[in-house]
Amino acid sequence: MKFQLPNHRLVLALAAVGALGGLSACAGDDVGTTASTATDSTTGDASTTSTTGSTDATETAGTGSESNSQAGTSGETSSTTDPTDSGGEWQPASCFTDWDQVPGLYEEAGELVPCAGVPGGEAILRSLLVLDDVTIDNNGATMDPCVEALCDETYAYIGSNQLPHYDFVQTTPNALTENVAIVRVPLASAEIAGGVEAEPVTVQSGCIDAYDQYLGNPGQATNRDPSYLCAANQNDALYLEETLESGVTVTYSKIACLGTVGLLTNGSPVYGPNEAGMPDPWGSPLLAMPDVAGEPYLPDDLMNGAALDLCGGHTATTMHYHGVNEACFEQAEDGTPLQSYVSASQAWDMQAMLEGECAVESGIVGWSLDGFPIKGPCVCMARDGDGVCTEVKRTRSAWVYDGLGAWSDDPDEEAALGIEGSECLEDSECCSGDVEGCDFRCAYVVAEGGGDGTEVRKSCALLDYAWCTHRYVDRSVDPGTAEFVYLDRCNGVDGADGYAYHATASFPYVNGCFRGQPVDSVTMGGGMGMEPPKCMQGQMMCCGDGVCGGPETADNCPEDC
Amino acid sequence: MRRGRLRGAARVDGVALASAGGRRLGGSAGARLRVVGAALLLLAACRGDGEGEPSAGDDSDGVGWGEQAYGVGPWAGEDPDGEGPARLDLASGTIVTYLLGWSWEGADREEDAWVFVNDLGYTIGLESVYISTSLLALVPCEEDSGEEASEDGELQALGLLTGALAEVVAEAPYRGTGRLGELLIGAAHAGHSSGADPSAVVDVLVEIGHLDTGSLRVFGAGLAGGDPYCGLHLLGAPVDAVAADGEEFDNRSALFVGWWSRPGEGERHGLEASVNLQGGSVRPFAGVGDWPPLPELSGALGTVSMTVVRYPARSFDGVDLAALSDAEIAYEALAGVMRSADVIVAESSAGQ
Repeated sequence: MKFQLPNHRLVLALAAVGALGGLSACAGDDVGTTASTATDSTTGDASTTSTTGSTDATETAGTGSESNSQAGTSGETSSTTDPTDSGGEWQPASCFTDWDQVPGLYEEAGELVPCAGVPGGEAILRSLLVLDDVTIDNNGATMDPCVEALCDETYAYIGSNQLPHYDFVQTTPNALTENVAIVRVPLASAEIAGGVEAEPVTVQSGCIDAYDQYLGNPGQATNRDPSYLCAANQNDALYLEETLESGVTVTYSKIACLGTVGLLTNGSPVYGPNEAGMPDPWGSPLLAMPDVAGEPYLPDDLMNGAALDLCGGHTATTMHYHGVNEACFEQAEDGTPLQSYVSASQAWDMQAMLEGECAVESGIVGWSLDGFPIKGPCVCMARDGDGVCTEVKRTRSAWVYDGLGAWSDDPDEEAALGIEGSECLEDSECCSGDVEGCDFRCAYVVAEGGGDGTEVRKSCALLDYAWCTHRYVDRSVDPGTAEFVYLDRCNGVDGADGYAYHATASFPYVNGCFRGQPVDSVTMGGGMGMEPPKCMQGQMMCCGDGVCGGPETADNCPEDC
Repeated sequence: MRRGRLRGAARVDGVALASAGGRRLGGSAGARLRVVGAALLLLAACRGDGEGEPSAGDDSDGVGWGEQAYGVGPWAGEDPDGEGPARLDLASGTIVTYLLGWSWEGADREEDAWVFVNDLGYTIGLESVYISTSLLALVPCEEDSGEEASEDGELQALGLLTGALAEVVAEAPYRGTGRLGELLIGAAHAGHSSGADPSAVVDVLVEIGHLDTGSLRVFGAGLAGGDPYCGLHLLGAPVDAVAADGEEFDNRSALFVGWWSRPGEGERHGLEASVNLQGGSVRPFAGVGDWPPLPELSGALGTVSMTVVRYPARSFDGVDLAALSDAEIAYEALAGVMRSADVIVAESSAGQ
């Protein structure tokens, strides 16, 4: 007989019940004695997938031909096919049960229909993992990840419970819980309207404050991300503008400093490149990750609980990702995950992810809130008449590691930050004395130098202030080499199938900004072509009163009060 | 192992146990200790003992805990069917000492192997088991209402969650959906971004499970942070270390050696499965036990021990050995070791 408490995921609900009813804490029976019954059912064969698929011109997001097979059968959808007839054929997911929430959440939503017949919807539909028969283990409890999409004429509504599609890897103490959400993505990306109030990309004056803060008290974070390149509150400008060397003036939308920039194909959100103010002030969790699967972790990184799993995710209030290991999101022909976590995680090799040769183009791993796809790091730059990709290149971020010291004119800077950017092989080389408590890691970064203008090298990188330690280098007239292509400020590029963001193993890892107009998250309530209100992520204009985040009063929201 | 009655909560003066709803179990409601000074002395003593050394697997460096001395009971016999996280209130600064133990409950010793049958019918014989343990830390309870709105003070300060909106979030019955969901996602940097709990202990320890039959090993000691705790986070990570028997554990987190047979078949298939990945779990507190009779724990009144008992014979439940690669078998079994562990709480009292 074993005494255990069951089902960790019920903690919140039970806690609430307990608060009301004085529920006792214990289960004294045999519950919980069973260990996992669920592998993720994706241990999968090694079958490779076809890479055909021409691009539907109406698919503005451009799925292209995907190495992970979702586009291998990109033709007709089978939404009308008998769902019980699987047989390895792709079938759209049908696991989500909360579609009735849509009208309440999005008042202007039209009739929701299968995305298969909706221009632009097919690409989104086919990119999502089919998780209907996938179960995962969460501390001995079986959970059912779910992601599904329906469309109206303008948006794809992606409903999910934001669970990983593989057994939960408890890298942080935060529990994995379901977070049922319906997030919408525009079917056709919209350009950011002209005339919006935008800051110049040289707005990073706060990085000087970050530098001063680090020298004065490195353990104390600035009270916000200091770069102003991401949006931290409603008072921030939402847009950035720059004139590139090519002569083109571009307007970007900032991503939120803390929050969702898109959804991955398993329905979980992807975040920006930084954590919050603690433990490493506004730093990137990717820098603290091992170079390869199996490399031991530093005690500080385990202690801080900021480690990601080797797909790039971890839990806080919900499961989310700061980076993407493409292998984790590869799909079998039926849309199910191709690889188990164990096999996919072995692809975690930072150097290879940064500069390995790309044999096949990457598939879609997610969708940005502005409607552009997020793909893996290998991009198809050209196709022949049959749609076969004839030129595949690795993408390379145009953000170089520059260090926080770059913001200094302090003659004493050498003492605190002099090690920044130094080439290294081991973490100990970046830390005088004990690595414990050290703010630097010997990490793979993209740095200026080398014959190609940039090079991938291991450098002593500061864990803090990710936005300030990296500097974007305009590559609009220097697109790259035969091996790689530089990405733009937002970490995207125009490939053979149109514009897409690409997940890279260096900053900003996924989106650095939005090239198109995002919906709902950073700006809410604004229609296409309208000047959107300056509401930040998650904030709503309460009943259209023009005030982001309330408060609601009888004057501005009579219907609610 | 003796499964005794619940030790009277009144005995556990410094360990105030409560349901998630806040109802304390036992007569020590609200009692909090102030033992920081003495406890710190014990902390130094504990951390100086055997850190990083693999278990020798006998009682020479540990004291038998199982059948003789270590009683385990559910939290509250008065409500055995209750569900919810047991909550542990510890005064800030209370010493928490972590111990690791193994139980081969459910397995029989046959020749050179521990033999058992998993829930899928596979017969498994384990000749060698090596597990890394890298981190143990208490997990603060999640608040039951409005946690997202309140637990990240940074966001409050930034004005992202203010006034009425914060209240909306706190009260939303369907918190994760749509726009509200986005709000919560946007606020979701609470928890792991706030730094390590002071109870966290990180070490590199490769244990030899197949030899360990009842001894306890001190993993380390941390300090309670003052929040109520609802579980213990166990994490095994790849390490580069050598076990006491010379097994080189280079960049691995688990190794299982032995054999297995399909259900109803006698043919044995060799097993040598290792993996290089993290495996972790958060375990609720399983029960209250006696104070572990380890000499190094004879110390201050009011310190707390957390004994983590692992059950290899349960760790293969759900593992379909014929369908998985060796690495997947090892990964699943490592996860099984973590998620089937019991965490037994004890608190020292006068004279111990």
